[in-house]
Amino acid sequence: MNPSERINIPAHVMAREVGDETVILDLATGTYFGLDEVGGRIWQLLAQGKTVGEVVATLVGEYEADASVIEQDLLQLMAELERRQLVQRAP
Amino acid sequence: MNLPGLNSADQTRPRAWLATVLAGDKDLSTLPALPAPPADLVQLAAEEEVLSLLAWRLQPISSSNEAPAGLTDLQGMAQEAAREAGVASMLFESQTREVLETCRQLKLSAILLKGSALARWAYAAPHLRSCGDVDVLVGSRQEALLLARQLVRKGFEMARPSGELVAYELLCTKALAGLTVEVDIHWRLANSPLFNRFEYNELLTNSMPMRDGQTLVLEPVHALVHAAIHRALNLSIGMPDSLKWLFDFVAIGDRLTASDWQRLAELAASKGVAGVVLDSLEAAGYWFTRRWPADCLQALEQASAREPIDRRKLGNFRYMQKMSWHALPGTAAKTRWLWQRVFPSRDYMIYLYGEQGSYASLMWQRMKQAARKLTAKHAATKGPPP
Repeated sequence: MNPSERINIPAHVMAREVGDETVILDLATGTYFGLDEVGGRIWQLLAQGKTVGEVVATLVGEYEADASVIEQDLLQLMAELERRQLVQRAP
Repeated sequence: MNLPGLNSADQTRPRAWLATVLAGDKDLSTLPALPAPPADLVQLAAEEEVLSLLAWRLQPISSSNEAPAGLTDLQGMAQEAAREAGVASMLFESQTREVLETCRQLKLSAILLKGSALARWAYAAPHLRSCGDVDVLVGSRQEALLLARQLVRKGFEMARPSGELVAYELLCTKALAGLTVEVDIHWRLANSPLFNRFEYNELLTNSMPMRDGQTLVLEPVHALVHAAIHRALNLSIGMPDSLKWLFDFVAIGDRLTASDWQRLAELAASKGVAGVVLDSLEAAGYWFTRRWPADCLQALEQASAREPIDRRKLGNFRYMQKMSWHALPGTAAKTRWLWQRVFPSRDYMIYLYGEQGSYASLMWQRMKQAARKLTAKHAATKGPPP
């Protein structure tokens, strides 16, 4: 993924914050997944339409962490979400 | 009047302890010791349908070093269950959206009612209000039929009503990811002629749009009155007074302004439900230690004294049925109601008893249940043996 890419969340995917985690439900399969606090924040930013680069920049500011580490974690999470068809790359 | 709330002795009882936590006005570090093992308290919270609320109230425990013994375990167990509740709430939400979208396609002005409505504005997050079904109000029985038929085309099944005087609603169900989603399509606010002085257009005028700009729900004062009516009807058919329902009054009441409380007293009095509203506020105030505006309670008390319904008998099935019958307009309606009560539709009996079968076999089941109830009542009134 390049920094200017965005993702779309398909209509069959819903998410809700429950306590400290974000629960994602795939209505098509009936399966659900939990994201921890950081994962949930990433989901929130992606759902707002931010690009990969914008998400990295936001998280660097919020968590005062190394940008390359954040980017690696972000891409890993996005790859997993894409594999499970919970997100799609925006055209 | 405001009843004295739970005292420290009460809070040694599990339900009262649970209510104290949910009330949210006590620092968690000052809570009394757990009155039961965490697993038992989780079970109780599940039965009272307030597990998500409990998990939410206990969230601050994670960052606290002063939690009473056992509270951290309880929080972990409740959080686990809350995750599942979050999933269920999303499933119901997806169906709510489908129902409302269908209404828009049919150009029906629908108002979302009860739990799925309150979840959207009265609670801090939608999953905190447990919902078992989706309730919508439309303008007429014809509109309800139109909506039900369209939902059937979308995969729902419709149960034929028990009779249009006994239940002013149609029931549609759909199996989804292991859950049964039930959609209740109402054309009157309550399933009893006793509480139906609300016209649809009046309710539409007193509805408010949600953040999506399209979904309509009752405005807070009407929502509170409706919650009280719903509670009264559930009590009349023997359902226990759950913490879930009682907390609705806290969720709404905590958001009312001084002028809202005044309007509440006036509205309840004008609709002949002052006693019903007062009963709910007193019960919620007792369990969740809320002191409602005295002026409002006094006005409700005075109005209820002039009403035919005795609020002390809301849990008396025969009394409430008798009052419903008296509320019907004219002999023809009364006769039709009686017939529909005694001989409901086959579909409705399948829904009531959870069994398939011929009309005759379901009626036999109905008579056996009635006989059991009569026998139990007789045994109760006879008292214990000497």
